[in-house]
Amino acid sequence: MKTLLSLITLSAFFMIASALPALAGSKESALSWQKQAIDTRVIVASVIGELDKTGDKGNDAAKDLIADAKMWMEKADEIFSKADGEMGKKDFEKAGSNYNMAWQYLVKSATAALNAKSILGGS
Amino acid sequence: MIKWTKFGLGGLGLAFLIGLLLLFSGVLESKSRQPGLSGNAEQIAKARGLTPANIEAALKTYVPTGKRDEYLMFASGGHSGQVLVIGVPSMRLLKVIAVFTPEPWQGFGQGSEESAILLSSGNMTVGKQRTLNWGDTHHPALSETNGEYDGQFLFINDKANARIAVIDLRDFETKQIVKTPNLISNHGGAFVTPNTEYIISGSQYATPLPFHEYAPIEQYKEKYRGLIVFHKFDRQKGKIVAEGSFQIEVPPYWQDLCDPGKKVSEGWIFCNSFNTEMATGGIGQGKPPFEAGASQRDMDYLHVINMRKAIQIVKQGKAKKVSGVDVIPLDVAVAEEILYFVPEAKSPHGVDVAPDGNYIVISGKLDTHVTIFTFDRIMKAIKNKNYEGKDPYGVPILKYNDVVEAQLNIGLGPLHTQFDNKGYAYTSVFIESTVAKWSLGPPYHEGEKAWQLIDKIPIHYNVGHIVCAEGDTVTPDGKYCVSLNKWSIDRFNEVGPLYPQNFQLLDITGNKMKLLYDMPIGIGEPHYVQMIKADKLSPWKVYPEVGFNPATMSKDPNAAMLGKERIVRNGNKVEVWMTALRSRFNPEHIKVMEGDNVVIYITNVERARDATHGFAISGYNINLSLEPGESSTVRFTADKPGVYPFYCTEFCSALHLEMAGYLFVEPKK
Repeated sequence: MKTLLSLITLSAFFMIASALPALAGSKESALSWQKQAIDTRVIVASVIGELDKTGDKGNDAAKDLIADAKMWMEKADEIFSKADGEMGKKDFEKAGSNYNMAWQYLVKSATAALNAKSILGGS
Repeated sequence: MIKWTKFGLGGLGLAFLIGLLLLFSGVLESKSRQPGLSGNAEQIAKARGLTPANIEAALKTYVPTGKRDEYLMFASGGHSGQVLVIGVPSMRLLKVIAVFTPEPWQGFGQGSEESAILLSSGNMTVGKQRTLNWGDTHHPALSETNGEYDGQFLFINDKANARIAVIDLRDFETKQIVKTPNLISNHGGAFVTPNTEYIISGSQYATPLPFHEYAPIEQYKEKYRGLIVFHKFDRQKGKIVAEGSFQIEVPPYWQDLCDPGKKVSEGWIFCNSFNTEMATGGIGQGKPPFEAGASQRDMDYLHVINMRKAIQIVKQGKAKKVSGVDVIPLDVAVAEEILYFVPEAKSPHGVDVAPDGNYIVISGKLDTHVTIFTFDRIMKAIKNKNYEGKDPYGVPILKYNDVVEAQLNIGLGPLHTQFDNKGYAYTSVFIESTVAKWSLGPPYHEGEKAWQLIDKIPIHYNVGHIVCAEGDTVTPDGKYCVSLNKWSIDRFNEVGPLYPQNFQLLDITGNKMKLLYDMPIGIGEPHYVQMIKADKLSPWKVYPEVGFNPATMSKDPNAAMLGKERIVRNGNKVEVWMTALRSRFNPEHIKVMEGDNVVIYITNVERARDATHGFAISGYNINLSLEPGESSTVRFTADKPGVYPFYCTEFCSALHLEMAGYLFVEPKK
């Protein structure tokens, strides 16, 4: 049930993402990308958190996917911090681009995490 | 390991279930019924740890020896540059059709003059001429008549080099490779119009027009362009022809997949695009990578093209010649009202026209929806010139709300959609690795039954395209879909770090989808597949007559014939007319001088099915495959003195090893 809720919420953020206004280069645009990345991260982190609790159940493939999901999460955090710095310097174009990039990394993280859940759910 | 107790089945219960399944499959009604079969089956199932679902899947997919599959799939072979032919439901690999890549077993690009000419016909048109010896096949397209597969031809694109190949399904061999002028990448191809008048492909990565004219990336918006290509197909000739072929210049938005309209929308073409941001990359220069730059806007543009009008524009001489091809310039396309845009969910991949031709389904890779436009609404918006504005190149943009019919939330990362015969659509969902089944609207489903998510099934893993039986025609069959998965992760025995792809066969006959079979694909990344009813195909069993040349699809006037074998020297040219028959070549001795130009016309004079002969010359990199009746030509310079056996590379008979001869190359004095 928890996984289902996570998926629904994750879907909601994808929907929000697809409805973002196109204001590339503006402060509003950068803030929108920032919010999207933050919100999505909360959900992906909760999926990874669940995986941490259940563990990989000794399944090597699931273990690798969980590691992959975490790696992308770290990359997302890294570039998110960079974007924060750019926001501080009011370089909204770069900040927006990097928040977007962080979100892309979170999508990759979600893909790996969901495949891990699929493997564990089916074994 | 799943335990049988989980199902609450004791031995009797299991035996009952197996018996029931066998009964439904008709096995118990067959004359070959064996007493005690259920008991044996039960033991086997237990020993192998098979669940009832596994057994049902096995019964639905097993095709006994000598029996045929109901459907054939034509799958792109991805990087292998070939096409795979696979039976459904058995998922048996029946053939690999050599297309863009030399293939020794079929003697393709491996010594036969005909295949060498064919392969080189798709060479680059600029720079040093060298034969492109690989292709990145993506989207096969069966020829159609009135929107139905007709089983006559297959077309396949090479994304890497913007080429299209034509395969004749009488002998399942490649007949033509066309290098598309002006274009260097064509992910979006091949797609056929409902009567195969045109084979459509779209550019992917925008380049200067033509691609071989240099322009720096800073001039991207001004000089870089995309193209939608219309290759005219002559069904009588079985070839793409230059006369009538044309292209339409479009903005540099990285056009992707297309789908020609059908029925009510016939004459119109719909193509996706995914870089309306006109991102130019440049990580090294501190710019956002393409994956971020090309996904900034929330909407990209579906290209809506009036093909019939475009044909008239070309006939009126309003196109300009670029590299010898008629190209409708972008400003003409706008002025003549043949190109429109519709906002679509960003980073889309699939655009799929439903069987009725009215619904047009779009999926954005980073969205959760499938979006359904209708052709009726699009036509109305165009008629009323109801635009929300124009893009920077002046192309009218229709109002999204005017053309959208429905939007359905089906999951994370929808890609491609196919259809069945009951008004349901099946969409591959990449990020969450599922296939979603959903209902179309009227006339397929009315009221609350319309536009509903019906079922989802997990797949393994990262599905790209999906194919259903005749699922992109005007009359889909239903029955089966196949999920074409990019990753297999844990599904098969490990064979090193390069994993096979995974084709997963799905049973779609019930309300809920069922997984039936996993088929590993270990020779490339297939992208798209089409699935045709097997009885629509009428392939030759042997070539129609002895001396038949598959390159010309006619009898070769120069073919060697039985009793007329000979060797003729004319200066330093040595011509050999050779026949192959179980189990000998005639002549068996070929004597030449070092430096001679040798031409061997060789014919397999067999008329028996499957009596194929190979012809390999050691040390000369030559191997041919000669099917019964086939004639081919080998041309080489005898530049290596010595004695070189030639032999049949097919185990053709008990005395196969004796089917050999010698090439004697006498050194120059």
